[in-house]
Amino acid sequence: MEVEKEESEEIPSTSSNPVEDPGPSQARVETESDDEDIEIPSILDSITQQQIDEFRPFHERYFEKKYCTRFTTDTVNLDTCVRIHTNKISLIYLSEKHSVIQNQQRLQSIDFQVSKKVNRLKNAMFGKGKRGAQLLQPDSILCHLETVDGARYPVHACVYGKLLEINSRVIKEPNFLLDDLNEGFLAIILPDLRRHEENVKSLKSVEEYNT
Amino acid sequence: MTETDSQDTKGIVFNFLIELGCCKRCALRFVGDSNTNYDNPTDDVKKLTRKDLGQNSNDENVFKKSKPNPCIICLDLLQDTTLQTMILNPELEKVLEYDSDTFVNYVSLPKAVLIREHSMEICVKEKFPQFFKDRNVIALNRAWSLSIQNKLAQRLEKKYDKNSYLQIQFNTSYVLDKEESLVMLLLEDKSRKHSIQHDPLSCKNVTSSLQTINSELFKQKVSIPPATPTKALDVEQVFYKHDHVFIAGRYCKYARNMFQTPWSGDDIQVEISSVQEKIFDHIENSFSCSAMVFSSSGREDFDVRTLGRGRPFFIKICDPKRTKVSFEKFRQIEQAVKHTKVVEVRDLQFIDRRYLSNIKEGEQFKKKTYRALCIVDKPENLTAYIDKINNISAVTLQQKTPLRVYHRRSSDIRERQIYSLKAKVINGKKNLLELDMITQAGTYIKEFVHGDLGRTTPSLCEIVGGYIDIIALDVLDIHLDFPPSINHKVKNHQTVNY
Ligand SMILES: [Zn+2]
Repeated sequence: MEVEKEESEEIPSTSSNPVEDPGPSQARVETESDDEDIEIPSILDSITQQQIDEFRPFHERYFEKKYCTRFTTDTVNLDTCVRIHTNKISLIYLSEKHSVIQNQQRLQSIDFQVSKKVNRLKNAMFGKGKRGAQLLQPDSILCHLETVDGARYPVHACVYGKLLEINSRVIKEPNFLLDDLNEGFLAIILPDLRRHEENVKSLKSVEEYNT
Repeated sequence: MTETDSQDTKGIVFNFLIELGCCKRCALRFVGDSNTNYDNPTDDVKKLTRKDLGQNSNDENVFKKSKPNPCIICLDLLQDTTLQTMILNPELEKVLEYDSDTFVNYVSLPKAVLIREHSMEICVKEKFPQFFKDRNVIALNRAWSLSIQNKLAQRLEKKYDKNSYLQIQFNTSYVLDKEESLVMLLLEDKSRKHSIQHDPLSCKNVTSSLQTINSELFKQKVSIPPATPTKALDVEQVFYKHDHVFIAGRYCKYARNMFQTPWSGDDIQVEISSVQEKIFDHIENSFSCSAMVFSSSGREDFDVRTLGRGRPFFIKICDPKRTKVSFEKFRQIEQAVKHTKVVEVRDLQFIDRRYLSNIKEGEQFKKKTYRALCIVDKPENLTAYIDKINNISAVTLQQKTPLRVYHRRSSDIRERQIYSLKAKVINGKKNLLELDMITQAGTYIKEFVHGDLGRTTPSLCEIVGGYIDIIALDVLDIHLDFPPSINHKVKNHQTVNY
């Protein structure tokens, strides 16, 4: 409703302000002095023994584990493990069957300059929509692993999405990627929700992978 | 006799206006003063007409002449019959439902009336330059308000107060409005045209154009004095609305499966309604309002309880019919919410809108006290972990956007403080510990404990050198004194009038 004011004075007034004018000694204003009365219910009683017994660690609780085997050849295992959070954020790891791990190789370095123009470490993005983040397809190369003995393995993105992050610890210590299969993820990808079904279908479940 | 001899001149000007076809209240606006009685102008009119029409004691003749045509300025807005139509509007019955003791009234004017008013001002200033040199003509809407206030007050059983939160607006229309105001397009300053966003013939734009318009140009296009109209304006709808009022309080949430606001989540099953709904259920009836808007100092995750004195919040209450809510009534609302068992409210009270920014500014700087029930990987290390936790006093964290919220938050690294940590064993539990923390607002506590795959550093896992994770989390306090706490022992009536 558009109200045309007849006078220029500003409404509202402050004379009817209940805070300024609480009336004659009716609501006594205090600070935290009466807080001791407030009882805090037990936190242990707020959950069941079953919840405690069935509690699983963080990396199991929220993530579904999948495997991508499509880049493996007769001679080289390039399998990756994709952990998908309940919010669909996906983390890319090396599979424990990956040649580098199976052959107990060590990494000399990781090359993130995947083409003349694209460096996975130069990934600037803005805002909640992550505008400007590098777009990935399943066969996009995230990096090349370079072993001490001179071998070179590509690691693929495995899903459609936007690159959010390369693990900063892996950048500093490449072998963390091989040594810690929980915290040693390579990349975090925000999947393209329109192709999420496709993403998931292309991956193998833990059971499928291990049989 | 000079023109400035006021009472006589007033009479002359008054008659001049009446002769041109103005209504008596419009004529009074040009000659009257602060004592003019617009509510019942008969005496003022008599005073002005007696001298000049000395031979004519029956001053009604003056008006009979102008009766056939509507007032050339106000199009009869200020005529008794129009005022009466407004007062008798059946919609006003609904205004009686508001418990406000006061009201303020407004009117929307046809643009033609604004143009006619401007034309008449030019006319009288040319005719009586001395008389109008330092004279303020009472604005039309002001005169309308003065004319109708008492009548409305009687009808509504409320007092007029220009600061009232209860606003009543009468809308008017005029069938020839478009036609008469089109002239403003010709008069529009070309340089201003670009700056006008929408309708150059909007009431606002016509008003501002008239303030700066060149009089000579105006006179070329508009009849001076205003042409005699064939139609009067029409009284349209009446709108009424009480300004929103705000109430504030603190809430506790005792459920581990409840969102703060209604949630249409896809993954998580929510068994019970939200904190907001639980509170709204008991507010709505007390205020008979059209809508409510909930705001709070942050929010907890759906599986986190908020205990202690609770989380500060406020509610914007839109168009309340009832605002006389007593101290006791607020206590009753608190009791009713308490009966839900899952939500509790304290310190419920009216709050002035000026204090609302405290809650949002406080969000940046406030501290929070948390209690976490934590599980450890190795029961044999429990006491060692507890010792390690209790040996550190404060921690500065670097938190990357948690994976949990990464899909809807921007990518960032945030520095946050843990001001204090205190861990203790729980009797009979070999793999559990209770952890109390005071943290900076905006710290992601769950991530601080489990480390979010190394993305929050340091984490409690790093600190103890093992795996530790939160099973259950409670907010024990939000260190923000808002709103003022209320002493429940005092049970006097407290009534606040808007
Ligand atoms: Zn009039």
